[in-house]
Amino acid sequence: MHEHVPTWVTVVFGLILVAMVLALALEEKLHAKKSFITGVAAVISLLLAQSLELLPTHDLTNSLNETVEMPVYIAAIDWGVIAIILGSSIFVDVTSKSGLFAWIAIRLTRASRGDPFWLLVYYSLMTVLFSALLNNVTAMIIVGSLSGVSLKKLGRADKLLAFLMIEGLLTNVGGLLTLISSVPNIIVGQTAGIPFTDFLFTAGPYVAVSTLLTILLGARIFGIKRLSTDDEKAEALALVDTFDEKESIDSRGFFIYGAVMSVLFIVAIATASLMEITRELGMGFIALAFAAAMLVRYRSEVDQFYQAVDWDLLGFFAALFVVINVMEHAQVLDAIGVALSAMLELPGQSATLLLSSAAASSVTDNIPLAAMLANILRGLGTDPSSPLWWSVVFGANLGGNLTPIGSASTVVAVTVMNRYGLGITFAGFVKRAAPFAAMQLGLAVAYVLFFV
Amino acid sequence: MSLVDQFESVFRGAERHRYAYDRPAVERVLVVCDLQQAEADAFVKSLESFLAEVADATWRVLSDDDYGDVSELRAIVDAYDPQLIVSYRNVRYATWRWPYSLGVFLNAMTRETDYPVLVMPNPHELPEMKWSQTSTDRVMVLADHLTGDDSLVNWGARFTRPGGNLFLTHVEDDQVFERYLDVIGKLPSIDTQSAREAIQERLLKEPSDYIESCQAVLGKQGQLTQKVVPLVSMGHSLADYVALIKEHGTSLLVFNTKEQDQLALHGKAYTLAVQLRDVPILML
Repeated sequence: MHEHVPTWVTVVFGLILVAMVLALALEEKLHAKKSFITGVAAVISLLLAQSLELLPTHDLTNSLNETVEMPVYIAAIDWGVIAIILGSSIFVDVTSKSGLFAWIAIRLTRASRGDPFWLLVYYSLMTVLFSALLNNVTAMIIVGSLSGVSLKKLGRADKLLAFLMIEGLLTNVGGLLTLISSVPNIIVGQTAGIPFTDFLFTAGPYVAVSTLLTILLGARIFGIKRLSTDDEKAEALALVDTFDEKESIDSRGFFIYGAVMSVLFIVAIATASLMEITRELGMGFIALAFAAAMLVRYRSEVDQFYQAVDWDLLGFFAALFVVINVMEHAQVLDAIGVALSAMLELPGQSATLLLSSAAASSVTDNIPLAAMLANILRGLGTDPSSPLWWSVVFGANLGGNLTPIGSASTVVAVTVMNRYGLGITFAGFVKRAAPFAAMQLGLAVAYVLFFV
Repeated sequence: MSLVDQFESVFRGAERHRYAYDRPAVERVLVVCDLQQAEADAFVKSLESFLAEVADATWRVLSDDDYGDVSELRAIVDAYDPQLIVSYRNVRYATWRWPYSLGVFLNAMTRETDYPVLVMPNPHELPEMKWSQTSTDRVMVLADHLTGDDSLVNWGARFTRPGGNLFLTHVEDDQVFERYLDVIGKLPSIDTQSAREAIQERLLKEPSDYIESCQAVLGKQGQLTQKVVPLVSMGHSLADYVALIKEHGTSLLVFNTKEQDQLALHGKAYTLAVQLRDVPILML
């Protein structure tokens, strides 16, 4: 890293970073995908940094003592994170073909006996579970689409907005549960070196309490009550009994295989840091290995799953890592770190960092925010047990609940709302989400201050 | 196709119409004929034998002298409020010699009332009354959309003799199917062969699942000892229907005739009712 970077250079690169963040916040208006925006920022940053001779070379020496050229835009990327996202998304996509997730969703629908309150409880728990084990977007897609179909079937379409709103808000709560539940968790967890089990045991109690309060608050605000008469109960039960969970299963063998592999996947990820072989290879290897194991059934048509990979997301990450790396060399992160250090010297710094992270991630992507803050905290030599890491995790995840563009899963929730003609506006979402977001953030601040 | 749409399809596909048995009550039967008293008595005696499942109902017979025009017949029907009307094609008219219609009286009873109408072969046209030597042991419920039509199945089950066969038949219109496939074949975004296979499989799966549910419920009911036979196929022409009916030696045919948005009888019902002159037909 260069010791003496002129201030004007740092300012110029800082402006590029601000422009990229603003462009990401306005991606819908710009009609540009995330990967394109960060890609352009990466190209400009690299060209400028190279011309100013800010970049180091990353040549490697192999076992034959040969020098292998390693361009900076390759070395800058955290391939471990890319591998986790690529492997997990293929694993989840193939596993969903087994009918496992749909089976769970329909079983829970039937378990509710068609009672709106219990349906809300089961769908909320399912949202949290799927968000924690899969990812927020997949969870919202599964539970949101099921809500649309089942509430229409039960003649409760008037409650669809409430269900989708609560589910959307719970995806970001469930996304807090494990190290692999959301990308900010992966980035912060990897940077801080927090083991999977530590992450789970620290976030778990908050997720449980916050989920319970969100359900109760949602039921109260939106007037979702239990059925009272026997006739209502019998009618609802008859309607919900028309769903047959077995219909979602094409092959019983593959269904069982998918269920077993899902359990093994979670166990493998959870114990990755405990076994030497997986500790060395990392969670990305585990994700890719399990994706390969699931693809065995579709070995002659794996290309269809490659096509379904979210290449925009992966391209976005790759370019983002390059941009952040360049910003490190241009000492932009150092400058932000100095400002952050000043803030962290104030009383209640964990709460301040959490709330400012939440505010920032409510209007822009929480991934660059998490990546940038994680790098800054590492640069400041923050201890892995510090609550500041958790301030970033809670703030980056929960900030997505403040606005409809705050997280990818709330965007999906709004998409499903519009699909059913519920016509939710930006202001309408903010107004409805505000009590929930305030409760969740207040609880998070208290939790980080007193329990972490 | 978006993932939301994919999962919605999975969940909609998981929805199954489950059959619920509800035994139709038949306590009052009204026979409308144009026979003289003695012939009418003989006709009814044959009917009671043929329709053993409802033989213990109260039967009222309107013979030739008991009613005048259509409105008079309607008034009698409304006053009696039967749960089943039994008559035959071209009743009160000699037009049975020109078998191209059901006749005004029968049309009025099928269109202007909600009562099930059992249409028997005309005893003037077919005086040997071959049906009287059979029983309702081979009942065929016929539909081009059977799934979810519990009432149709209930009536079929109601009339099927213990130990008899209840054929639940769904004929998916292959002409309509081909017309849509023709359009799909012109859309580059949809793989035509995959669409053909997937749509056809789905179209036939739903009635098959429904019939499976009928078999399970009727078997569970314990009171019914009929064998439920599924017949699900593609087809469209009258010949396809007639072939099925003849192939299985159907002694009683059951189908829907009411069409909410038109005065004429539903779909192929009229054509079948006119053409199948020697088969008793229960028109719902």
